[in-house]
Amino acid sequence: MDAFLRLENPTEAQRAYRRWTLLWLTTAFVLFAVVGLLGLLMRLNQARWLSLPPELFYAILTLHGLGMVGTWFVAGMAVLGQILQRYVNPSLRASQIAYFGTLIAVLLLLTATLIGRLGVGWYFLYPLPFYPSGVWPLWASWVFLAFLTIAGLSWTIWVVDYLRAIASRYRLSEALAWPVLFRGRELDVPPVILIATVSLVAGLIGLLAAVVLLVLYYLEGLGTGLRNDALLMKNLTFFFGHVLVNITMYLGVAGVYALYPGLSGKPPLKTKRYVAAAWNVALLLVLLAYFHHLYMDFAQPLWFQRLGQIASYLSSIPAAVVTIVTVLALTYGARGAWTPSRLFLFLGTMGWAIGGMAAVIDSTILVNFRFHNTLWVPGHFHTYFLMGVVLMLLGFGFRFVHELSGHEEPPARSLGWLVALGGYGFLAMFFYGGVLSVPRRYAAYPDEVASGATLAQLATVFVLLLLTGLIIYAWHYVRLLRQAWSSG
Amino acid sequence: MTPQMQAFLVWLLWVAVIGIVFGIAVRGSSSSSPPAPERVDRMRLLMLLVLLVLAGFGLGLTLPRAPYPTAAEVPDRVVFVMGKQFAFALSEDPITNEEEYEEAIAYGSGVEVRRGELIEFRVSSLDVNHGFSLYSPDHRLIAQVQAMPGYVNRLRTRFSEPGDYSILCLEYCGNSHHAMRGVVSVR
Amino acid sequence: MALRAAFAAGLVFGLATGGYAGQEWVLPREEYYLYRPVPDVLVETVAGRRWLSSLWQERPLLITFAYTRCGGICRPFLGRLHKALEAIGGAGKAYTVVVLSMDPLDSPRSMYQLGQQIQRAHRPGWIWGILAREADIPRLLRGVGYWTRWDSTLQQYDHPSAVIAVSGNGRLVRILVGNEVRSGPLADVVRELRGLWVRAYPLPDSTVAFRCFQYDPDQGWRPDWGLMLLLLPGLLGLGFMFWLFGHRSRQSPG
Repeated sequence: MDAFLRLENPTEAQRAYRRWTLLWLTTAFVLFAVVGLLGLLMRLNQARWLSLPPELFYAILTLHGLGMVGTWFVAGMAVLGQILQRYVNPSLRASQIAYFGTLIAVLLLLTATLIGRLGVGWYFLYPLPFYPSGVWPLWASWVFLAFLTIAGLSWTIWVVDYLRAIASRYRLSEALAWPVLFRGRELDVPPVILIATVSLVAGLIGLLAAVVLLVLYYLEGLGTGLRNDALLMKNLTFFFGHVLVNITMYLGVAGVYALYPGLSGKPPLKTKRYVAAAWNVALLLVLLAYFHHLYMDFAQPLWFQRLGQIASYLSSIPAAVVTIVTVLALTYGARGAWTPSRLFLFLGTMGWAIGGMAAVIDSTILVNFRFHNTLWVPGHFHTYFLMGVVLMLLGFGFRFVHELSGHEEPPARSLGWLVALGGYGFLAMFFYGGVLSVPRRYAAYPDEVASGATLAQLATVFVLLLLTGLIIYAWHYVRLLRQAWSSG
Repeated sequence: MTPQMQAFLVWLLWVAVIGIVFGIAVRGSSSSSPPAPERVDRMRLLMLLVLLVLAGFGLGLTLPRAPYPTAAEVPDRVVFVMGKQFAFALSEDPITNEEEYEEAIAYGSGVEVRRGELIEFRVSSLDVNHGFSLYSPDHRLIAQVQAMPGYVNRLRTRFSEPGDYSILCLEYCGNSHHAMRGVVSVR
Repeated sequence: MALRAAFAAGLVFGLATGGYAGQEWVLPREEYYLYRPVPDVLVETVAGRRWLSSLWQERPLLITFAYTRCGGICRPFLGRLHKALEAIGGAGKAYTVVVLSMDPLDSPRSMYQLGQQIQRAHRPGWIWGILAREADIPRLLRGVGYWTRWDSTLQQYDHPSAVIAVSGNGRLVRILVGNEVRSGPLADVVRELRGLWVRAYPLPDSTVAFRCFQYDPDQGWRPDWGLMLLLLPGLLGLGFMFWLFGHRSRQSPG
């Protein structure tokens, strides 16, 4: 058994770090289960099989969206930390601060949404938090801002610490593989360091955008008389939101780079020139693509809109040419067993490609005119997440508990089928909803788009398949947890 | 075929290509021998070129057709649209403040226009962001624009078929977002 | 619907007359006159008589009103308009500026002299004149939402300052009001008259801070603090990256 994650003679510090990774992943999986079931509740409500009051539906919508974004960001960060730990020394203290910060943030979010009934959606588009229309009290908006502040601060500390750890061993040019890129030199820097640096720098920029956004919110909320420009706030919101979600994807991809070669019986990947080029380009494009969220704002300058489409188109290419071809080449003729972890990493990469194409299509201004804020949008980002980064991180977690506990992985077959069939069936209903012009984020569907209810009914059936697969996964995972912890 | 369906089919085509390529890799994982690195690099280069050409083609085909009118043309009719939690007010008279909104809404969230006319919707919002969208009588989304506070967005449409075009809100705006609506009657 | 139309008509009438009374709406509101046909009137200048329609068929118009006895805003306003349009450019090519008198005592010659005062020399694309028929004055003013009121104690007209944009087929496209000539909106209007589509415009609101762009008469659109705020995260993030790596690798080389 190849053991990337299980070091031969781990030091006490390395063991402690491993335990924290296990704690992070387990916490994330628990949150995923809870927040995922909330998603099922929403689908049941849209299917007219359940009748939630709208204020509860939209509070759940907010909790589900922010919960998922946050959960997979922290899970991805934990996975990245575990991988980085092989090469550099991320601080356990920073990870712990982030952990407790996240827990407090979760409590605040639960308070604001479930008790306060705050329903602002995951991107809380300005100035909605200030217009509760009698549904949520003022304190809920403040608790929500506190949630954002605490989550943002603790994650910034975490991101900065990883960068610090990388910087203490590598020069910037090395971490970004510039000698390889510009001079074609061989370099002893694993691709994961490059991906991490790109993701972390982009992530930091996204988090700083959130800081600016929050400062503007506070300035207005504290009654300074200042009012914000809705267009600027929207730009900041999607800058931060898009970058954070996008780099979460990259964090999962880091897991693929780290684990997939070994699981396919191949040596670790080297930082080749095309890898260096692709990820350096990604750093630029990830910051520009967010403009595609504002196509329907005619007040946005035209060249921003065009830049949005061009950046969105181009950002798919390095991903496809480098990561996807690499995964395919590692798969072909590998003869390795299809364990769940390997299968999940493979399927996750495929989901990235499929969701990516859905995103490219929707990032076409001409198409966006018909798809913007229809179910096509959750279709594409659920593909990215559920069938992409979630599978990658679940694959990582599966491998992690098995390596730590010293067990062989069980065969993947039924697990793979259930997750793939359930997942894609569930997603297909979103995509087809987009084709039928069904709006996203509707607690109930009016007559014009009543087909949305039928699609929701079908979707819940597929969710049950997916759920069965995830329960099998959870059973395997939980079974080994104690052993993994004690040997960790 | 609706534009939505066309986009869907393009995507399905891609899904099929991706599925086939990943399927080949899975099939090849047990039977074949690993590909030589040079062959992988050649494929990578080929794929880069193909994707660059496709992206260029896609951009060239779609960017100039982005639905932002560039040439000014005098519309036959102006309809003022104001969003406010949770109804759209529509009127041929300006709606710029709460009173005008209330006056307009007193007559219902609708307006009548003639088919074939070039209509300019001047869309704004009194409170939060809303999404002004037009649904054809057979319930397909045909046009949309954001209603953003502090800005007036000008959306132009020509209705070729008579009937009632529903307006739904396409930007989440709060508790009755799904019930926020209006109508354009085309005669 | 009929009720609604009657209501709307009443509202327009009420506003128009309200405007004449100078009480509720001191400034013309473009929303009520948008895309309506502008009355065709006979314009007389020192060069002769022309129908307004023949002017707009030649190229779109920017119409403004002034009178030579005016002891108030007319001259400063015309001066600002002249300066702003010089900066924006396009007079005589993309549009014609028509300065008309609403005072029956004015003559083509007196308006010509007013033009000379403001512009010092003849400028192409500017027309200074009067309405050949006195009865056309109220007809044109009403048709474009403009008003005047004779103040007998001051022996002056009360009137707003406005620029009225008329398209090539005689429809009213925009009314810009106010004594200050705001270059941004004026440039937008000129863009639209040149046949370029203006997709959106911000509503004036003095309490809004940090817009992304502001219009500067000298430099055109210039980035405002809002755009800086949008660039700030990227600059700070990259700056921090360079600092951190530079700093750390000095501490522990290799």
